[in-house]
Formats: sequence, C-alpha cells, structure tokens
Amino acid sequence: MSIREGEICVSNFITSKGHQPLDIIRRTVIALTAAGALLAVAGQAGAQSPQPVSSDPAVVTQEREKTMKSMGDAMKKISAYVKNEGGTIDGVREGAATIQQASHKIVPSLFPADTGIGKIKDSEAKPEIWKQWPQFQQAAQKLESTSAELVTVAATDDRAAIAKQFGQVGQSCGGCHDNFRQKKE
Amino acid sequence: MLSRLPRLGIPLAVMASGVFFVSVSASAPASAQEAGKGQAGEGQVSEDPVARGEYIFNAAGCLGCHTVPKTGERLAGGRALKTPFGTFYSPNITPDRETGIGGWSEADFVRAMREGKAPDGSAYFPVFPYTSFTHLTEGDIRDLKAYIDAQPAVSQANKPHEVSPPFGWRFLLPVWQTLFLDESGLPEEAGRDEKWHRGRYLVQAAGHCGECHSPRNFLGVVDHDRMLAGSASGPEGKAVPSITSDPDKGIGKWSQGEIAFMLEIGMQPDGDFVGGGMNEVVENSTSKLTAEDRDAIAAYLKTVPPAP
Ligand code: HEC
Ligand code: HEC
Ligand code: HEC
Repeated sequence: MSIREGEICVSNFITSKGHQPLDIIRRTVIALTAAGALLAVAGQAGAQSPQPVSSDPAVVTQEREKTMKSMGDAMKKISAYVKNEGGTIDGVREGAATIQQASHKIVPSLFPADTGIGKIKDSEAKPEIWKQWPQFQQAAQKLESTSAELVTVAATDDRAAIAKQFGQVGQSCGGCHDNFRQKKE
Repeated sequence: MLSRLPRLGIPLAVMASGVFFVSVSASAPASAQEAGKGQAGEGQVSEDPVARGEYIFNAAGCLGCHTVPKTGERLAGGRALKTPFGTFYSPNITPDRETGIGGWSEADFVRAMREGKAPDGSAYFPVFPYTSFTHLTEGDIRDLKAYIDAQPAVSQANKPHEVSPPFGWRFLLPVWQTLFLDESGLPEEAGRDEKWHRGRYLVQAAGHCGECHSPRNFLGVVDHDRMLAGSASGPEGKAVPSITSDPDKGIGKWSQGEIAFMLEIGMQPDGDFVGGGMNEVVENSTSKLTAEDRDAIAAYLKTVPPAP
C-alpha cells in the first residue's frame, strides 16, 4: 500500500461527511490517525517513515513493542549462530538486516512525546527520553551504526568477527535500556 | 578513554544504617590466590600484582562509581550517586597525593575496604559497598592497591555529599557499623565444590550483586534470609529483579549457560537486553571476567534458594 493511496482514502473520508466545526476537528483527528497508521505500514515496507507511526499513543506503543521484540528475536537468532547452537549464517544476515532497518525507526517514529511511563499503561519508557532527547538520539544512532556494521560483517562467514560485532550491537541495546528503560515489576 | 558509562547504578538504600550486608559467618576467607586467577589465562595466576589487581578491580566494578560517565577523568571521583537519603559524590581514588589517596599506606587501604574506616578513623557511608568488600581476601585487597597505585594521578578535589541530617551525620556511622558490619569473611560450606565457593566469592564479596538485588529491612539493611530475592527500591529507588533459583520470581528457568551468556553480553534468554544499570555492570565488570569465572557465578546462582 502506498502513502498516496492512503491520502486519497483519508480525504474521501473527510469530505464525504458533515461540516460542523467540532465534528471536523474530531474527524480530522481520526483521519490523521488513519494516515499515521498507513505511514507506518509504508515505513515498514522499507522506506523510513518521517513521523510518528500514529498520533494515537496506543498505536505508537504497540508498534514500539513490536519493533523492539523483532530486534530481540533477531538477536536471539544471531546468538544461536555466535554460540554455535544451531544458528545459520542466513539467520544472521536476516537478523542483522531486521535490526538495521528497525534502528532507523526508533527516533523518528517510535517515541513521540508523552508516550512513556505514567502516560501509557505498561510502558517502560522513562521520562528521561524526552528530557534528554539528544542523548536518546545518540543511543539510537549508536545502534544504527553498530547494526550497519553487523550487516557488513555478516556478509562474510567470519564467526569471530560476527561474534565481536554482535557484542557491539548488544551494548547498543543495553546502553539505551540502562538509561531510558525501567522494567515494570 | 572511557567507554560509554551509562548513568547510575548505585547500590544505595544505604544510609539509615547502611547497606550493611549482613553475613552469618565465622571462618577463614577463601584463598587469596584464587581471586587473581584468570587474567594470566588458562586458569593461571599472574605473577604481577598489578595485573591481578586489575582483575579484582573489574570484578568489583570500582570504575563506574568512581568516575563521572563520559566526561570525567578516570577514577577522579565526583560521580553523583543518588539515594533516598540524598546525593553522595564518590571521592578521587587516583594516587594523587593531595586530592586522591596517594599518601595512603597499604594498611590504610585494607582498613577502608575491610572496616569502612578512613585513615583518620572516621567511618565511611555504606554507599561505598565495604559491607561486601569486607569479605575480599587480604591478598586481593593488596593487589587492588597495587593496581590503583599504578594508575595516573589526577588532581581533582572531592565534592561534599548533599545528604540531610541525620543521614549525613558521619559520627553516627560507627554505631551502625558495630551492628551490621561483619568482617569475618565468607564461611567454607561443606559439600560445595571449589567452583561454587568461587562463584559465591564473586557474587558476595567482589561483585556486590546483593547491594542491588537483595531486599532491605526498614533500617536499610540487606535481609539475609531473602538474599538476592530482588529489591523494591534499588538504585534511584527503582525495582531490581530477583536472581534466586525461584522459577517464577527469579531466574530458575534460565540454564547455567544462559546466565553466563547474560553476564558476558547482557542478553536474556528471549533476546531482550538488560538495562536499568545492569548493562553497566555487564560492561564494566562481568564481561571482563574469564569465562570460567562467569560460569562459576552462574553455577552459584543456580543454588541460591528462593526466598521463603
Ligand atoms: C535508543 C534506545 C533503545 C535502543 C537502542 C534499543 N532499545 Fe529496546 N527498548 C527501549 C525502550 C525505551 C523500551 C521500553 C518501551 C516501552 O515499554 O514503552 C524498550 C523495550 C524493549 C523490549 C521490550 C518490548 C516489549 O514491550 O515487550 C525489547 C525486547 C527490546 N527493547 C529489545 C531491544 C534490542 C534487542 C535492542 C538492540 C538490538 C534494543 N532493544 C535497542 C529503548 C531502546
Ligand atoms: C556503589 C558505588 C561504589 C563502588 C562500587 C565503589 N566505591 Fe569506593 N566509594 C564510594 C563512595 C560514595 C565513597 C565515599 C564514602 C564516604 O564518603 O563515606 C567511596 C570511598 C572510597 C574510598 C575512600 C576514599 C577517601 O578519600 O577516603 C576508597 C579507597 C574507595 N572508595 C575505593 C574503592 C575501590 C577500590 C572499589 C572497588 C573495589 C570501590 N571503591 C567501589 C562509592 C563506591
Ligand atoms: C547497580 C545495581 C546492580 C548490581 C550491582 C547488579 N545488578 Fe543485576 N540487575 C540490576 C537491574 C536493575 C536489573 C534489571 C535489568 C533490566 O531492567 O533490564 C538486573 C538484572 C539482572 C539479571 C537478569 C534478571 C532477570 O530476571 O532478567 C541477572 C541474572 C543479574 N542482574 C545478575 C547480577 C549479578 C550476578 C550481579 C553481580 C555480579 C549483579 N546482577 C549486580 C541491577 C544490578
């Protein structure tokens, strides 16, 4: 699905209905939400989405959880190869690509303001994310670069080099979690 | 230069009476040589006290607390350690004679680590985890001193703590120390092998894991019966999970290999990565141990009983 189709669909929706000011505002919010969701879909298909996946915090946090989990699954897959416990080099390449793509979504689309602990039920995102946004961006950039390097290294079959870079990527995950995530009890 | 040091990670809770790690013990410390094992490779003990000291230094995570993350000079102190009682600033422990500990004798250093006392006899706040370090062998403490003496001196004056009364009253500390500081070392336990004892030493004496992972009673004292069973208010007052062998609340479902791997790179069995200060422990400390030592920690943790 392309973004353009999404826009058309949204404007049809707006113009086909009533015109009372409040109603329009309400509908615009709904429409923007829908547009956001479509952007998210487009973003997932490869392109980087330039804005929050949605203006609906619930959708954002769902998408955030899904993205983070996909990175966790990828790391698990790569670790199976690194530890020589049944993983394959194809799994490493796939996993590295997943993480690299996901890393580019973190800053632009997964953490809009007011979507952390206290605002969203069950969120583990600390308020420091928004208080120290430049540091948070740096933490995400670190994952962008370490995972890009993992993609490069994974093109070889050098298990030792892959293991080393896997450790670097892991430190990028843990470094951000140390500062910006607080697990719920 | 320093690699990235994520923020805090202080065993705190501290004050009111201390982080007093109460130990039920009364016997000889483990062999002094043992702790230096590893850095010479293949289980051999290095001949060089500085190299042995570096290994203990890493195992005990001295760097993080005594260095301001990213911007600070190594070991020059000044890192803010937030606790419910106020903010403590770690001191300069470089060999600088004026602002560091360059003028200290070996006996001064041993006393600080073992008894929590400064050369002038005053007591330290237990935010400095000497209630764990007291179980370090004397040999390990001497090696630590040799390593610290070999580091570059940095001139940087200490910052006063910002702690309100009565918690900030150093003169009250000796009372708490008599109540809660047990300097008698970790007792030999019958029926346990050398690896288990090594793991326990790394967890309880050097790694001071319990400073974050054990619950505390109303006096801020580690609850020994519920050792490593998690804390509702660890660093910055945040919850820290249980790491006992409890299959639900603790890590009883993790294999020994999974625990050791987490200590090496921070990955949990489901592919998620630890945070909340634990990543720093991995980065500065457990990732720098030998695989053998990480395995010993994992083997020991598998035997820590669930809290009653
Ligand atoms: C730039 C910061 C940052 C980076 C880098 C990062 N994470 Fe996260 N991660 C977070 C935050 C914040 C949360 C909590 C989100 C919430 O609960 O709202 C989180 C949550 C998670 C979760 C739990 C998702 C859930 O709710 O079930 C997993 C799993 C995870 N991350 C894995 C990873 C892995 C694996 C990596 C590295 C490949 C990584 N993360 C890198 C910030 C980051
Ligand atoms: C959890 C943080 C933390 C850790 C870990 C830690 N320290 Fe400290 N240390 C402190 C604080 C805070 C003080 C100051 C205590 C006070 O003022 O009463 C201190 C005090 C000291 C002192 C006394 C310095 C003086 O000027 O009087 C020495 C020596 C010292 N630490 C060495 C070490 C060594 C060696 C290690 C590792 C084995 C270590 N510390 C680990 C926080 C820590
Ligand atoms: C500075 C405080 C601190 C110290 C010291 C510390 N930990 Fe942790 N640890 C934590 C926190 C906080 C978590 C939760 C991590 C998270 O939120 O992702 C944790 C998580 C863990 C976990 C994973 C538990 C789980 O259920 O996911 C294990 C295992 C662990 N620590 C072992 C250790 C060992 C072994 C030591 C000593 C060598 C140690 N820790 C020292 C704070 C600490």
